[in-house]
Amino acid sequence: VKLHDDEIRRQELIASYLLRRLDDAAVDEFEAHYLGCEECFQDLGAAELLVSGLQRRRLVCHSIGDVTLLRFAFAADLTIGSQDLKALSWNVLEQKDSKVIIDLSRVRRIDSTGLGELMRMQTHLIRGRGALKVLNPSKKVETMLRMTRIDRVVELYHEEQAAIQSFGAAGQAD
Amino acid sequence: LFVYLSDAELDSLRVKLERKVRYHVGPYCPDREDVVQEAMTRLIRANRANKIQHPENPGAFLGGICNNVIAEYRRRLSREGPDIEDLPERASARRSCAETLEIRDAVDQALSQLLDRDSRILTGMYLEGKSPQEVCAEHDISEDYLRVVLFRAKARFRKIFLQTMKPAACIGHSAREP
Repeated sequence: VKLHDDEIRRQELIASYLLRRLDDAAVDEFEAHYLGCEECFQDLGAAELLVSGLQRRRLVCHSIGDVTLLRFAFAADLTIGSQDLKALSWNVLEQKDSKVIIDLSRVRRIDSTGLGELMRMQTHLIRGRGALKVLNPSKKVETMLRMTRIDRVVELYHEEQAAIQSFGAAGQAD
Repeated sequence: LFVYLSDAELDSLRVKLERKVRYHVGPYCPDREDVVQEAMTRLIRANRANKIQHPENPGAFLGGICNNVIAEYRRRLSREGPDIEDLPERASARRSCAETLEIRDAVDQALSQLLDRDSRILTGMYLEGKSPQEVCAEHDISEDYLRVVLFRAKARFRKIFLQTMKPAACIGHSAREP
């Protein structure tokens, strides 16, 4: 009942839950509450949609024919728990596009979670008869991609046109 | 047989439980539905055995059951390892492309209708995790104004959420014994 007395506090709690900033006890308490509270459940769903939309705005999406080019609007980190990584995953794994280029020029850091997620995206896109290509990684990120040999699975390009045309060439080969 | 929870209540709990499970095992977990099903099965069993202490507020009880099922699932995964090959395909099958795009369009449209300042306020609170006090100070607004922004956003996105719930509820529900 106290939770519903203060709307701002309630929304702050929902935001903290979605951002995974609550400790285990607080998570349990909030979940026990929303499992029995239609209003909080709906607000949680609404906030999740809002977050997904705001996250998508971090990523600029261009369609060039049947190729989708994703580019971060601001400096981004593809690391464990990062919102940038979540936005990227959502845009690749939950969408219908199968030929995707990710421009990594604004990605400052990538860790094992980010690298794993790139591999997951590649697997997903190949299943849709497409592929993932990476464009303009910074030196630091490129080193990581080469060290982990991901560059052997996900093609790296330094020119946008070359990356786009690589899909065409693959299509002709088929 | 004395049944505390009606079918409609169980349906409603199942939809909420799906969200909880998704939060804990991730949206791409191929066994998400199985975890939900197992938790619901245990709840129904407890319901039939008249073991739910507060059926008028079963959230805590169901939350506890679900935590146990998730813990058991994680233990099993650590023993057997995840079936990684299966992950993306099952995840993408969750919703049809058209449906996902429809939701995305509705969300983007709602966001485009927001004032630029309101959009930055919501970003601060929901994406960057700033406290209401920090958001108010940063944008030089009162708590009352923040309350209005939150109320407007909530109304818009709730409407979209309720639309998405209709097909999701159909997908998520399996046949239950009468």
